[in-house]
Amino acid sequence: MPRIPRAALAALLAVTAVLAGGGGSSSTPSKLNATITVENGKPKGGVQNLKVKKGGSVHLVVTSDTADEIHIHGYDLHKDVAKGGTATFDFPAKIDGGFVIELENAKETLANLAVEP
Amino acid sequence: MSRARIAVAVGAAALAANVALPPPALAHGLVGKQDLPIPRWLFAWAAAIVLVVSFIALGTLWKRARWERDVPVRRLLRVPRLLEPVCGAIGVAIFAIGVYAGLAGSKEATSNLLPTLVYVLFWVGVPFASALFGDVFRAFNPWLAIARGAGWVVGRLGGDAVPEPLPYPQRLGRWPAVVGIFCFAWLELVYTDKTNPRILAALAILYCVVQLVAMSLYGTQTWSRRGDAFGVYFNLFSRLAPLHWRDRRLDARPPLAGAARTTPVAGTVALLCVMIGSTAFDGFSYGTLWNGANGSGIAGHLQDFFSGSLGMSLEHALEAAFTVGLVLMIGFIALIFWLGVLGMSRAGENHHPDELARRFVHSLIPIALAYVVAHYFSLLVYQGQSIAYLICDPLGDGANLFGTADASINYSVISATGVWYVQVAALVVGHVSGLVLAHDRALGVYSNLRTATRSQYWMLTVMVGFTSFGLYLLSGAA
Repeated sequence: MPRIPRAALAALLAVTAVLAGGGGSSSTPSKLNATITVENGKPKGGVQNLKVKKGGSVHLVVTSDTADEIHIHGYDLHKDVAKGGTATFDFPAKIDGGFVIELENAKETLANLAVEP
Repeated sequence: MSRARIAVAVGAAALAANVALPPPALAHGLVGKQDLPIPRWLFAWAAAIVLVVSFIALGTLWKRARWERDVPVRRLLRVPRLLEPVCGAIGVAIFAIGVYAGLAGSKEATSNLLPTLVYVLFWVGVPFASALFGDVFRAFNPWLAIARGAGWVVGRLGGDAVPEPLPYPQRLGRWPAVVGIFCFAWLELVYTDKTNPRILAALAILYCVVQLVAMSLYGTQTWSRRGDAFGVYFNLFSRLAPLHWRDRRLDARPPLAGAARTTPVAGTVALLCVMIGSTAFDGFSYGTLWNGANGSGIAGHLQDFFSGSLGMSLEHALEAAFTVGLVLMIGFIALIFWLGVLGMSRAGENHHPDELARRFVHSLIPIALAYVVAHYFSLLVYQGQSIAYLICDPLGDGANLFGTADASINYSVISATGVWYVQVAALVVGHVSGLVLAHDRALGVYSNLRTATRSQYWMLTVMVGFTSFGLYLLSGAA
């Protein structure tokens, strides 16, 4: 049946064309510099989606108006933050995946960190 | 015609991926690392591969049914008589330790053994094991082991006094399992306090008691094959395995062939729809469409409705919203399958849609497994590791029974790219397996190859639908 592979090829080309058309994906930075401000126990401006390339580095400053603990899941980094204080994280992004940055005791998600391969 | 339609469907799903936003990940009860959405290029390749293999399958699959009669099996070994009570005792012991940890241990979900035991090793681990090694759960099933043990003791003490079990109502079929699996899915995906060790322990005991009562009423064998929700659920996956345990024998059989031997009793179609729908909803409920950018998604609107118009508390309103989502998703899966069956019934030879639904439902088993693998593989690989420290300190009180209490999860075991390949491979393999099973059944149902092939354009559309939807959920476009 020679018609079948041809139809398949056409479909493959169609799909690839559709997807390639939307190309030009935003490149992920290898250095992430981010600031999160916690106001009334919630992240100011909503939950941020932070991105960094695997192998890059993360510099994160969290300022909070409530005393709590900042927890970066997966990397398992914990730092206490005092009321009105600041917690600073500097770490290499060596594990790829999606990780939640959480205000630990309030169980409030502050940001999502995506380390992309 | 069908080909063009399929290409359009996949193209549309691909377009949806183009406007994708990154999914706002929720803080899941147990999870430390989440999957990244599959990238566009991988989505394109997967969709293209699915289309190509589908068309090739239509042209090149065998022309005479292979699995409609008894398939050739090869006997591998005799299983020693002792293995049954030993495995049963291990199962009962694990159950007892888990329940004890849940009742007496830490209330913190991540430091208590029970939540990980239930949601990771049992719910996700056993399906993987079943699909590879056959129905292993049947050997370790704790409530079945207790019932068998009790039966043995009663038999020894003079079994003449034991009344005959009630006849199992035919209409009931697999419906008790449908109810059980739906309730578990609700607990896992909807209920707010799902990782509370105390509640989990109480529910585990309740489930065990219900099974024991039902087995004493309807007979151990009958109930465990039809009504025991988890037994039935794991058994369906084990039918894809190349190994078959029965009557103290271990046979090798062709992979997938066991699925063709599924008796499509009442409730089987519903069970498969609940299985696929609940996994799909788990993926969907992490997406933007459901959650919205700042609570403005479908969930938020439903929650507003339940709390505003019906006066529910915010927490219960959210649970109500998730319940609606879960039920609608199961309905959506049933609808896709039903449309395929309806189309098939018009292919010729006057088969009623109900009959076709029952005869083709087994082709959804690999799809259900593919969804489980695609959604939970990383959970098993990463969170499964936590058993190393949980088993050392099951109560979370600082014990160190085996010296590994300080172990931690290594999130670099498999890279994000590796997880993507596993997810996509699962969907593609599940897709092909579903097609093969449906193709073989069609050759048995229809009298000639022409009608069989024509009917399969419809099943192919159904399978492409499920697979594209699975890819769509993985792409984070939802």
